[in-house]
Amino acid sequence: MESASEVVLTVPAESSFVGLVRTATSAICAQADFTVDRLDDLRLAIDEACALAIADARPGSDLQVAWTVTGQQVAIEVVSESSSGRPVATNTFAWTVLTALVDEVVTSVTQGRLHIGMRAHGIESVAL
Amino acid sequence: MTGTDGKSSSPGSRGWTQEDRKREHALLARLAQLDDDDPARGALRDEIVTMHLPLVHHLARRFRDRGEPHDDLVQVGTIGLIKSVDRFDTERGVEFSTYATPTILGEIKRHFRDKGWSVRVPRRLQELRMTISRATSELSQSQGRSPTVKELAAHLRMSEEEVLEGLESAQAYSTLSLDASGSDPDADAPALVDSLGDHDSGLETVEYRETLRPLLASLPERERQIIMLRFFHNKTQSDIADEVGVSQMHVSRLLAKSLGTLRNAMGVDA
Repeated sequence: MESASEVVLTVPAESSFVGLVRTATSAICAQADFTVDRLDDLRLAIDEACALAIADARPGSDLQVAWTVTGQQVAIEVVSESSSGRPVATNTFAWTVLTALVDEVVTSVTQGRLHIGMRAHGIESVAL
Repeated sequence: MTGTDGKSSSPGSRGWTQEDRKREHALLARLAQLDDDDPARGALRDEIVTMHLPLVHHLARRFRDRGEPHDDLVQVGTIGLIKSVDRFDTERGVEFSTYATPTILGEIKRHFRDKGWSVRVPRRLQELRMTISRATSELSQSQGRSPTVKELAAHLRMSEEEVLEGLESAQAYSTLSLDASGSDPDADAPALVDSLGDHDSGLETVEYRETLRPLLASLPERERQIIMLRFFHNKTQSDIADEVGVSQMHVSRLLAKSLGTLRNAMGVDA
């Protein structure tokens, strides 16, 4: 089992902070040796996940993003204070987008907090 | 720009035979006789546009050191060409290429002026972005997959931070909207959205028919095509770049932009 390193960032749940989350994602995935393709995909995914979380966030609440890097795999957890109390609807275009961009994506609501969890590999499976 | 291109042998038609020129005149004359909504217009217009694509390439090459991919300039230049075909008046007695040149140049310059670098990305970053984009293509070719940031850094003898900075700046620049929807010259294949049956897997599960379909239809053809390829046909960004004929960086940029547009339109604010 490779050792995992974790990075956590808390920002106001406002769209103006998504850029910061995206930049952090790039830097972290570069460390995990992501190819440019996968890195750009994950940047799109984090945009989408943050947009979903922010749309449902209680006014004035925070968005918490945690990245866990294990070898060439990155897991990202986006957590917000849900105002609807419902997980992300999986019959939406946004969800289709997320599933296409990352290896795995899950959503749930626990104790009033919306979770969107994603996992991605740094290299396309068709690599060499 | 000096604009000394209007000489009698315009560069785009230099290699033309007398036959070619006659054909061009005949096509333009025929186009002029058709009503605006005549179904025959499209094919005729395409033919004229195709004939003059070398002119667009020639004009785009003049801007080759400005940090924009040649293909992108050709694409905006082609919009100028299409406009020229639509507006050309055979009565005026000038060669079509002479007439089209300033319009094509105008579109290319406009791309730089108000759409291209509207965020004023510093020249250093523009160059960095180009260098990285080129290296990404080269390494993708030789390795059969897109490179990692580390590989790019080693290849370009830069720090990883610099590479990241270049990648970030690529997103910072709001790309042009090719909103000449429907007149996109490389959109001769039937629109992907329409070619997808409603039974296509994955589409039935999304809120496709009511919301997404009309929104996708409102996107410029190329952006729509890229969205479909990435999200419904699961192609990688590099594959799409090859297929559509632009850089991977440009695919990434268009995806980010289109998703933002769709998000706004679907009422997911952020």
